[in-house]
Amino acid sequence: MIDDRSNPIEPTDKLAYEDAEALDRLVAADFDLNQVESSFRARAERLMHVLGMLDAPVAFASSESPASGASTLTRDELVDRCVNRIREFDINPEHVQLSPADEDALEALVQANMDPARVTSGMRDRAAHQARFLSLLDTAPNSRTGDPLSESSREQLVTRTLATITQSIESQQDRLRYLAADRRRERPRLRVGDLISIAAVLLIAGAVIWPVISTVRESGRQAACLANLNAIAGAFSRYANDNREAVPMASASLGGTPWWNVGSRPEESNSANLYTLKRVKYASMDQLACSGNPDAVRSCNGEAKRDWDQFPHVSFSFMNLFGRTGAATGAVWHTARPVVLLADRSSVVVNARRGARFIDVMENSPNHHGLGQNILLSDLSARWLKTPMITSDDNIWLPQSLENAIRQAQQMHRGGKAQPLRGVETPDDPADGFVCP
Amino acid sequence: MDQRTDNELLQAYRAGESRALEELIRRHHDDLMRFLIRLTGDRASAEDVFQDTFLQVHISADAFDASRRFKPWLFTIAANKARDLLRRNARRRAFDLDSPVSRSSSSGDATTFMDLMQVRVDQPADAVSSAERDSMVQSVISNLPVSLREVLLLAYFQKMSYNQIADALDIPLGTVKSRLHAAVAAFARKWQVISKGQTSS
Repeated sequence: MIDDRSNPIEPTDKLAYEDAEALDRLVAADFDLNQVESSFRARAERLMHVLGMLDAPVAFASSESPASGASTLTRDELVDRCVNRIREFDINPEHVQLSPADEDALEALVQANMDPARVTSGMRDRAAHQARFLSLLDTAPNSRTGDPLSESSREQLVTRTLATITQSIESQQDRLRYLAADRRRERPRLRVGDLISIAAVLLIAGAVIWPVISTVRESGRQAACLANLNAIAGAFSRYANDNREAVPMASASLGGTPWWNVGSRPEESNSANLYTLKRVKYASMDQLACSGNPDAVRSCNGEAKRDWDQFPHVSFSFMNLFGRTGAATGAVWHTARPVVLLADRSSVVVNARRGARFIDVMENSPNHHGLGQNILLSDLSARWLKTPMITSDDNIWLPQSLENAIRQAQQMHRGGKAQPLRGVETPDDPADGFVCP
Repeated sequence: MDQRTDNELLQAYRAGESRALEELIRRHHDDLMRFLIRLTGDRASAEDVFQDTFLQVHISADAFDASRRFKPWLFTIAANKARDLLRRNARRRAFDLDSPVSRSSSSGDATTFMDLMQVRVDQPADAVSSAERDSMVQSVISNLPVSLREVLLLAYFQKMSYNQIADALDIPLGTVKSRLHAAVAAFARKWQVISKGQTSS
């Protein structure tokens, strides 16, 4: 119908002088003819006629749109789209910015270790408000939804998560090593600003995740330790079957020298008794190590060895076998109540060996942050014990006679402080729970 | 229908009443879409710009000077968003010889003075349907360079003063004037050609 190309519009088209004047007056009068001076009105009227063409109605919700064949939106659809776009925009983190005042307050709060009380007074209210807001992150998802994860799926998740974190840490370390090597050759590719942003992200993520990870890690360690004790239970059982019910013993020893002399003289060390399980291949070094002991040794560099090299390498305390013969040890399988065979290393011995003047006999093993200890009993069951008391009158760190003496001095009930062990104490009878290195 | 003024609605939106913006969108839909279809030349682009415009209203709501009128502000945003879109499209079609921009730039220096007294402004025959008339107007406007188009539409539809347009588009006052003059002249000339073709066919 219309051939646009035959009549191109020249940008140099100009209005005649009179028309231009009339147009200026029309604009000034908001296109109201009556407001235009009479001398220009005729021209203004003509202008209005021409421009009136622009009033041609635009068909709004019709598919016969003038210039595009594309499908079109109804008014309601378009309004909905607008509203949705605004919503999407608002939840896009790239479009959210803190106000400068909030930025300053947040920076101060981070520098104050998230403690608003330590933020300068001018920003304290704002920082406190932010801290309250951020504390929402502490909400445990389980307690809020009332939909706790099943035990097995939680364990799987913990295992998978820890594996992922470990892998990521290892690959990060590799990358850092690579970067460090790379940096020596080239100029750094990151700007200081980038590094600060990365550091901030890591800092915040770390602050949020760290308590969670450390709790998860500790319960992972407890579980791994308990699994080791169960494996060692099997080793005890096989050893007893093969050795006329005896418990592992390095050599008969009558005592008299400290049984905590680990490494130097195996015949004097109680840990050498436990090491027998490894020496005669009933248990591995790895099983005899608790991941809660940072000094634990998991591999052995000599087949002929008869003990751990040093006291800190020993993760578990074994029932004190001093004053017994090999055959007599078989009695532990027949006591009325199960006896403690093995436990996470004794805090009482650790402290005594360190030279403490007094020891707290109620202190839990250092293997699990003092939360408790795993023990293995002579009925070959293993479990978690929250205090060193296996029964109301048997402390696994002490021989019965000493416990009685302490009880008589009424010290057990006043904080449980006692004179340290000397390393030569022995159990009173086969039923007395008393473990030591 | 909400009885509040535009400014009251925007104020309410700023205070957190999210329905208020929806009412504003609804209220200005027809005017703004007419303006945008005329300005961009096609409906799909107009719809895009329409959404961009209200998104910008949402983003800038707090910066709006409540002592000013809402509608000119809205159309200023829309004109600028449309300009962005057309500029993007023009870049994409830089080598498209059919585009009005490249055609006009290849033309000579000859200046044509339009005297409107010589322009026939008879209404097209009754037989011409409103859809055809719509398409004629659009084709005339689409042939104007964007710089002229926006000035013409803001002046005519929004009754903006030269000062307001200069402010809105961030161009000198003198340029606004000369562009409006050129726009009206070009529009008249093109209209003349088209309506002649229409009546003679």
